[in-house]
Amino acid sequence: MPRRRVLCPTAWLPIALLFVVGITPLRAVQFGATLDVGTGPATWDQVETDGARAEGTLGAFYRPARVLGLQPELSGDFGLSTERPVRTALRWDVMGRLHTRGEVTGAWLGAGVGGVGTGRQTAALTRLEGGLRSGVGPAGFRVWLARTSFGVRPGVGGSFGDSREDTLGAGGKQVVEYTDLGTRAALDLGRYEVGATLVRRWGSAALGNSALRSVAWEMSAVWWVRPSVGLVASVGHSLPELSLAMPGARYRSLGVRLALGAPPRRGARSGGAPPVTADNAAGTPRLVLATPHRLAIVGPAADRAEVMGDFTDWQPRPLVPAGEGRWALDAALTRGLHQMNVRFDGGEWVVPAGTVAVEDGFGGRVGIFVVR
Amino acid sequence: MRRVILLLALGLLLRSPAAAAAQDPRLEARLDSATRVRVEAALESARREGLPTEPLVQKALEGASKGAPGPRIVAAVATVLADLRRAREALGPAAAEDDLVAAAAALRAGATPAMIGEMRRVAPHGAVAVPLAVFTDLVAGGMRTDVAWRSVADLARKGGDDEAFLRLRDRLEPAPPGSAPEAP
Repeated sequence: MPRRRVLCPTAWLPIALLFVVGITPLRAVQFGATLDVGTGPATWDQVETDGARAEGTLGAFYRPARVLGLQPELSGDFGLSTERPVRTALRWDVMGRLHTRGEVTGAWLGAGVGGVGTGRQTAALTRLEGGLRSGVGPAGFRVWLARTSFGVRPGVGGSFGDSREDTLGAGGKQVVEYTDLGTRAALDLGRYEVGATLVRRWGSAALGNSALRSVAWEMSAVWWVRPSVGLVASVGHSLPELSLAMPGARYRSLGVRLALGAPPRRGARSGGAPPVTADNAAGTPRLVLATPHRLAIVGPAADRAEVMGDFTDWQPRPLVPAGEGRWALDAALTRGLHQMNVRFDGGEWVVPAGTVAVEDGFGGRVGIFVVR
Repeated sequence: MRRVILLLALGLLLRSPAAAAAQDPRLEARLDSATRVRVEAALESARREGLPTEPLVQKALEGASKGAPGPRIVAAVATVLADLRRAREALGPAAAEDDLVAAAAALRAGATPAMIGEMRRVAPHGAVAVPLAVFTDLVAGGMRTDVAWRSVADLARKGGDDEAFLRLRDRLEPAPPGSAPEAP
């Protein structure tokens, strides 16, 4: 059999992004990170053993300015999980992505490298992914396709899945490859988010074993008790971790999500979904929702955001993170014309896109918008 | 006699701008007394002319929150008052408050007094608030002023009701508030 490469050529994209990052003016970049910590009971497939799962994930992203109309993004995720009585595992990955539009709509294409390990056993991965996003009001939808290749050391993967011999490459490494088709729907309700994720997996050698699960799902809810602190509850059924010979599991989990330096990234623990990109590429805020009960603004990465307008008697009111780079204010607004300004991290009051910017009479500008 | 003089003096006092300013606690709390007196004088002018006062109050509060000096707040309030007067001139003396506010916003968004007057003539029942709000919103979405105006005026001539104007907005506005935006 021909030798199969574990490190696929798609790894060039993160390197190219690093180059882009290196030439980007600092004022144009965005940083952000999300820390998730959760725990709960789990029942493992195949062995039908009850256990407990605890997981911590730190994800960070870095976005330079747009290039040729595309928004580059470099992200990294590091996770530590203990899955008693199965094992403890470390995961990490670095992904480069290019986004065509914003965080709510558009497409993305990405590639990256990473690894998983349990101490003595390790596996390197490469990943190529692409997806589409869409949004209607507070609802967001995305669908993605991801191809993942693992280079697994001999012996790993044999405990619950029968890998085909033809996946063994030179040097004794085993290649496990699979393709995930995922979809996620989420509803952004201001301080509350609910979402559902469904992933179908095809093609890995070990998944040729029909006994292994090939569909994962998760339903989750987040309550943002503070602008940067959310409580997360989720329930789902995970896919087997082929590279570590770890079976899938039914699980329930409660946890805490901390948004560090940026609006939170929805879906950080969404059953294998690629990290959601909370991006407003140019850092310019945009009014995206104006109803009698709610305003929502997509803004740049920031610790805090405020709005003031005729609906607040021009008193600054804090906006709360609403997921995917959105900031929201739940307030009673009369139908008709209103005026507003927003600011981030205590900076200057600015006019969000999506409003009519007019001179405010005080040397600045104010945005006129319509609530209907 | 002294009682009559006292009542007259009290009446004059209550009619003075300083006393009127105290009627709106928002201004009293956030403007210095000198600025408040002059703002209230503008409010009083608006009341006398039958113009809405809330836009003036809001402009004063906006200035206070933005740290503008008193004279600048007074000037900005005077500008809003002038906008409302222009809107009144375009719409006529019987214009409703909503129509005046919408017309003032449309004027700031690029409409001309002639456009406003035309809208009043062609809009069903002369109610221009929604058509002008839709015009302003279309301009907010990036549509050229003349194109937005043509679309709104054409619908008004056809007798479109408020819902029709809102549907027009949905049809023409590619990324309205309430739907998915395109990142800039």
